[in-house]
Amino acid sequence: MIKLFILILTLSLSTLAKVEIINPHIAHVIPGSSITAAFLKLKNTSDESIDLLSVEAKWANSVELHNHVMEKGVMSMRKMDKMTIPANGELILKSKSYHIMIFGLKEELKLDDIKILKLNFSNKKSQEIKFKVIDVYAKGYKHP
Amino acid sequence: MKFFFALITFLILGFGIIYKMNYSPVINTYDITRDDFGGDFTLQGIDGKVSLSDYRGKNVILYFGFATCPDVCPMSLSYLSKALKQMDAIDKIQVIFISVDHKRDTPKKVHNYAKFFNKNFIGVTGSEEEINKVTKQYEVYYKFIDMPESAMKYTVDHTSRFYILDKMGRAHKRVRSDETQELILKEIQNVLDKG
Repeated sequence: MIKLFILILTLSLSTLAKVEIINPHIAHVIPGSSITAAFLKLKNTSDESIDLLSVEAKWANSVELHNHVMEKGVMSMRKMDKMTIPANGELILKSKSYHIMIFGLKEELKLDDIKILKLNFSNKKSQEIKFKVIDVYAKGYKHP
Repeated sequence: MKFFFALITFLILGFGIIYKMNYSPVINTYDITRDDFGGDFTLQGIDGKVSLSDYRGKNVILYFGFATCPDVCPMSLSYLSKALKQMDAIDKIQVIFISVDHKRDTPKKVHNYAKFFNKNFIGVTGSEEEINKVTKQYEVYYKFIDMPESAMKYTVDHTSRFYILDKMGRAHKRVRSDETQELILKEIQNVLDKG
């Protein structure tokens, strides 16, 4: 009985865990391209790690989690099944690192547009986040 | 037991050699002024054939990538555009973006990609044979990696470097795109000073 109580308590505490979203934005699309990338900082304020499992967009055919690795001068990009935000820690999705890839844009993304991405986390929580389309190639751009 | 150790040593060495062969593009030197390095090439631009020799009399910077590259290639090209503007050298240097993705990229796609970063940049690509020839000349590593579970279907691993050429089309310096801004600017300026 006590075990069950502890389990229920643990589960309810973990569902309270919230991920704080900082500076969510989407890269301005290169003309002729139907793909782009999204960046943000994820802050986990709970005592347990939380995984970002998937991302959804109604305005694109598919969204994937990717990582860039530069090893011995060779740049590689790989799809990831999940990204872990450490307990009481943060995960930065930025250029040349972890990022969200968006494929098959169904509509034109213009600078300053606000687009919704749904982030699905391992704590059974989903968050619909507003991402702003910005020129990440402009002078003065700072990653999250 | 001796045989066992000998076998392990042999295997480690063997894997090491194979690894080295596959990942040999990285040589820890920036100087590429060698007779057997670089040289002229002809690839496909939006208006037909483009050769390096078309730009004789102008410094050239080559960058090899692919147009579906969402991050490293655009960041490198935008960086180059900003750097050349800062040096007031945009008219002195021809930047050529070479797409190694001969399966997916067309001259038009590569052209639009390059122009997005700077109207003076040009984008070219070619057949598998042409790409293999030019990447061999410039010791560029690229490899198609299947990603069946991704919408991309495949990605392209590649070296991300700037090749700085003099006005005669001779390759002088090779700089990794993730090097410091100071180093990249210095190397470009050094080659410009040589003419």
